[in-house]
Amino acid sequence: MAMYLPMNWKKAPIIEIDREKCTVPMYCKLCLQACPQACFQVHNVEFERFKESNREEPGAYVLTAPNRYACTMCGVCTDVCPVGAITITGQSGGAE
Amino acid sequence: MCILCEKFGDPEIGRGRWYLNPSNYGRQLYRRRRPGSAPGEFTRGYRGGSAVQEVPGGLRNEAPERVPELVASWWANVDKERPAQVITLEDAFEVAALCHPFASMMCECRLWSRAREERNPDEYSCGGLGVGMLKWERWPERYKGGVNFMTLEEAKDWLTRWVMRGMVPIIMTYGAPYVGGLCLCDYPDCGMIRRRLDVGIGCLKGHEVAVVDYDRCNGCGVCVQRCQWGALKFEVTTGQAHIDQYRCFGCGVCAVGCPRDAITMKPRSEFPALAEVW
Repeated sequence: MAMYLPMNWKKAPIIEIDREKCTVPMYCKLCLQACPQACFQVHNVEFERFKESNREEPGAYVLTAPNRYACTMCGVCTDVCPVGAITITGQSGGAE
Repeated sequence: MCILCEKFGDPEIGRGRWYLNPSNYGRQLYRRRRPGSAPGEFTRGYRGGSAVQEVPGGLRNEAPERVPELVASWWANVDKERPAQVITLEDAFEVAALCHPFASMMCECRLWSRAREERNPDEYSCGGLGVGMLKWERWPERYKGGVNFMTLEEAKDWLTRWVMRGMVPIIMTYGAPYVGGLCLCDYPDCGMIRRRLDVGIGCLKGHEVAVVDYDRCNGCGVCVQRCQWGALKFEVTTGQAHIDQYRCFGCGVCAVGCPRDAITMKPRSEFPALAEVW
């Protein structure tokens, strides 16, 4: 729980998600539940009023890491991902 | 004085608080984005409710050096943005009595951040207020479930249950001053608390500040686990709770949970140094 200073966000770890491998994040959701810093979010790609996207349809939802400034590079998400879609690169210090 | 109360409050109604002013729930304030109109800078990217969550995210990834400028512009235009404010459980009761209808529904933030799907009314943790909820009555054929309309008594029970569990009541606007939601939030899953604590925008502090009565506090530590803001800790020297009042957001969750009523909520205006800290 910290105020992350914007000038340091350039140093934040870079979370790369391979969208070819990660196709059904809303159905799998392991990284979302495992991340201690809650870095990840899942979004539906096509938004239509009053209609829910099918979770099991590949590509209907997309995984993003908007809170990557909070990432500590602990590696839990890369370990837990069943398809190995997440890679993280960064340096000590990060955004803090 | 709170900037939203200055703009949208009525001194003679609801102690001058903007969210207790019935005109802020008016039907004429309920705005829908016109088809084809472009989303603003703060709601670009993904469409729909997820836009709220994506706000700082898109900015951080694309142009971190622009964030200070955008945060400053958010505060300069807080009366035109989509601000929220922390309220206490008592104020939430007054809001529930003021608005119609009052409904609980699935929390969008938790859906995106932790993929939590709340599927039955007992799990719903987000409150929808006012005419925005009536769209489900207007278009019943498109209603796919997920909204639970409540009476005042049910609403009070529902609010009490969630606040006892430790959630923070936050009053939401959908384009100030239109009050449209009463969220029950925690860190880090809730978009509002997360944006405020991490980036410094999103929700304003409440009108009250928590104060520990050291004569009554026996140091049981129940309150320590309830603070979502990092303001409350156990002070080992005195063996009692300690509240950093600059960090306190005045949600009253600690006061509700204290078994000895040792925490009282005092108006922010009684503290000259805190009076303008929002």
